[in-house]
Amino acid sequence: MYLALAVAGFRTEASFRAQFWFLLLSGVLNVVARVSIWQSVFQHGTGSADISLPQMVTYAILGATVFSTWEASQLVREMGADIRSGNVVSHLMRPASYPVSLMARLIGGRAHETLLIGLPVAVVMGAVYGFQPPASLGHALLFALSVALSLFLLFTLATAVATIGFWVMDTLALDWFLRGTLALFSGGLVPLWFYPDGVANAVHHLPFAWIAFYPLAIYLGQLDLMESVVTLLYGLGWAVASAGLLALLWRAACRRMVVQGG
Amino acid sequence: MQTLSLYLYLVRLQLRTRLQYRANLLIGWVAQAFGYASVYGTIWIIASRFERLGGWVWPEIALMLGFHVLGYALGALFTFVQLRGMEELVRLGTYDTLMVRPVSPWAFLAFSGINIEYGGHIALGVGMIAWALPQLGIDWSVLTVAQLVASLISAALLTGATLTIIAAMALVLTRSRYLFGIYFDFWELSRYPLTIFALPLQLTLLSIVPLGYMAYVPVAALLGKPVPLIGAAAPFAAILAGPVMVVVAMLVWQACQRRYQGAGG
Amino acid sequence: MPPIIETEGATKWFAQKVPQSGFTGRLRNFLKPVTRDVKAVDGISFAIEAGEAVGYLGPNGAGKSTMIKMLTGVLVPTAGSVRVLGRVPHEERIVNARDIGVVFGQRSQLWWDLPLFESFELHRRIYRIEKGRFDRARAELVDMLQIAPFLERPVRQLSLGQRMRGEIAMTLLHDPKILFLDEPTIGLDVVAKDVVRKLISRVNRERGTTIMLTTHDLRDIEEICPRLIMVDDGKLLFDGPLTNLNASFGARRKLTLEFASEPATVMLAGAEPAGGEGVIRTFLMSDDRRSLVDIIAALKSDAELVDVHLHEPDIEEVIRTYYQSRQRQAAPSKRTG
Repeated sequence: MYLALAVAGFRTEASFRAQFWFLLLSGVLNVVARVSIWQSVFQHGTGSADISLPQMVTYAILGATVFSTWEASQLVREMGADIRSGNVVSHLMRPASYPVSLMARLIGGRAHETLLIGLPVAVVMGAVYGFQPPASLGHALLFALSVALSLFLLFTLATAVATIGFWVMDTLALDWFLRGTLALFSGGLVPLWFYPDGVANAVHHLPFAWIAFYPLAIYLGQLDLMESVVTLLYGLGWAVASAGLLALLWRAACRRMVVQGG
Repeated sequence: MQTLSLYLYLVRLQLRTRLQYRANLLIGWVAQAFGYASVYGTIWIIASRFERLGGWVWPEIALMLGFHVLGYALGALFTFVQLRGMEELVRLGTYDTLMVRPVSPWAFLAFSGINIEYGGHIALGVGMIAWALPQLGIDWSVLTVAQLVASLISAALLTGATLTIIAAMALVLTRSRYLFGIYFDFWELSRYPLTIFALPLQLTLLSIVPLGYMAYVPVAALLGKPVPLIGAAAPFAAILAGPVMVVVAMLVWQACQRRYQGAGG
Repeated sequence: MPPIIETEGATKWFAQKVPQSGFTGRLRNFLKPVTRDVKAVDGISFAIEAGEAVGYLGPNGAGKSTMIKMLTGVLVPTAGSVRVLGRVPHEERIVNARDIGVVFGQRSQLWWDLPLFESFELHRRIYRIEKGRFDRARAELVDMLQIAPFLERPVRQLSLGQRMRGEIAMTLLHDPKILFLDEPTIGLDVVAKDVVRKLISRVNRERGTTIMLTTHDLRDIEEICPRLIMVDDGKLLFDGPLTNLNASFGARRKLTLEFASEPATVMLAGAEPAGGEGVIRTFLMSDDRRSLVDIIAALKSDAELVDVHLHEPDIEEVIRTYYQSRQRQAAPSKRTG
């Protein structure tokens, strides 16, 4: 059943064919911006001893495609609209867990976007700028696991943020907070190893780092296999914690709805 | 004169409606400023780690980012949210109700929908400019102050005109959402020094998608930094880009208006 | 005096996109779409004199709104000419807009979040109505349309009927010479419909405002408009007094006779037997000019007449008959083509 929802999420996306070319152009521009920055600082600036330009180009391409957080924003806005209009009640009456069906939809949309937009953009941009393979087979496998973890974390955090909408009713602001937090702490734009030491120490331990930074660091082999496994387990801990947080928030929201009589 | 007083009255009505929800407004300002500041934070991390980005140091970049967001907010105040919904206005026939009144539909939309959600943008922009300017050793004169103000107005006009052109296309194409999306993709490129991009992209941002004049060209001109392709013409180009786009936008708007088909039926 | 509204062969074609499939087709859809012309208004001519109240009737998609939009300067006619108060509306849209009022049944022009009177004040500024004149007009209209009780309430709290009254009052504040109403009673309940119809009719009679309203509800026209213009498929079907409609569409009166006992023979000159059994006989009258007395005088029957009932076809029936016959005509051609 949740699979059907994921497929429906995939299909809704597929029905907007005209959108395809615009999204492709959009993806290309996004990659160009990031790669241009790294080329500029590596070729004309001081560069970095720990990481090479081809690695940073790969980081930029993957960061702009596989780790796009667009759907999370969409989820917050859509759920906000559902809360405001009261539609959320009709969702709750269905014999399915609302958060889980949301997650199925998010994954469907994500899969669609990655396959139809992300992949072509990554291939084309990789051909233009060069692209590095994963550091090793082991790293590739752990990367795949870390992508799944990243999706789960992104979803639970976005839904938790959207659930706050039951109390504050202004999900547009919540979406901006979420986007800002992800831009600053997920490492999707700038890897954490470039962050000033003090800031980096803290950000390394926040759950947001597992949404983009750690998967990419694993892919590029910046962490050895042992470190990668430990990091993934640490991330799993965050996944459990954020799922717990979501469950708590969700139960409180449901109770609130019952009290208010829907 | 009566036209102006009508527009001021529309603005007053809109403000009164919006100020009914002050707390939300304030949260919105903070949230949007935080969203922008976070992205600027990542740019600061790059600039401070590598000292320069495209030959620009952080205070210079900060001035450009402040200029970018302020110019955008001043233009979008009158256009973005109002015109983003153009395809809806056409589809629901609301646009027709504007056309039967003795007013310019564009002006009516612009002023009656004035969007005060940009408070956060404006505060952030002004703050960054105020922080950056004293550190840059600009040789201030009446002329440079005039140049700063004029190019800021030009950036605002450029924003308003570009968004108007996209909305005018909704009158004919009935769909313009993707065009707004593409606009913002180029707009994001326009907050970095143009010199980091390859030549074709530099050329694009200075001609067919003239967002290079949003912040990079005017700030480079003010700081006396070399500007690719247009060189010494930069200060003049920065001041003229907005007004020129306004003329283009008016022509496009009129052409699209004549071809307008209504909601059908 | 020349007509206040005049159209000559007014025509509006819409370019409708024909979607192309396949990759190149999609690209083409975007760059240069293939289009097909749809004739929403197809060569319509009529003239309306000052002070008239004209109903513009037709089914959905007949091109009623398109006509209103051409007359108000929203749309540019593809061919033919349209003149309102001697002007070409789309060329002098703003000047024209000052002299007319337009009410759209489905789209409110009122300011949703603010009290009704604020919308009036905005209207004053848009139409540049001088303060003294505005106050007088406002007082008069508030009284006439009975909107005083909810003048202070935000528009979003008003019922649809109250809103329509507010809408009409606002549109009359600048004393327009012509009032266009596009489906003014759509969505209203029966009581509200009746109130709105009476008000529009009063506006026409007491203020002398020329009225042109589009509708697909015949009652609107029966109660407001002595003159009917009927369109279908973009073409003009009928233009004249409402009372002429029956004759022009060949609708016939139905005579029902009731006898004391079952008659063996019933002969009625100039009437066609249309069934009946037992003591009842019905006839369709071919000549609509004859009086009932003449008809009965011509009756030849062996039974005694008890009761006579003459049924006048109402417009609704006339028009329904017309559309049904049109569908019957259309159906076979679909099969062959």
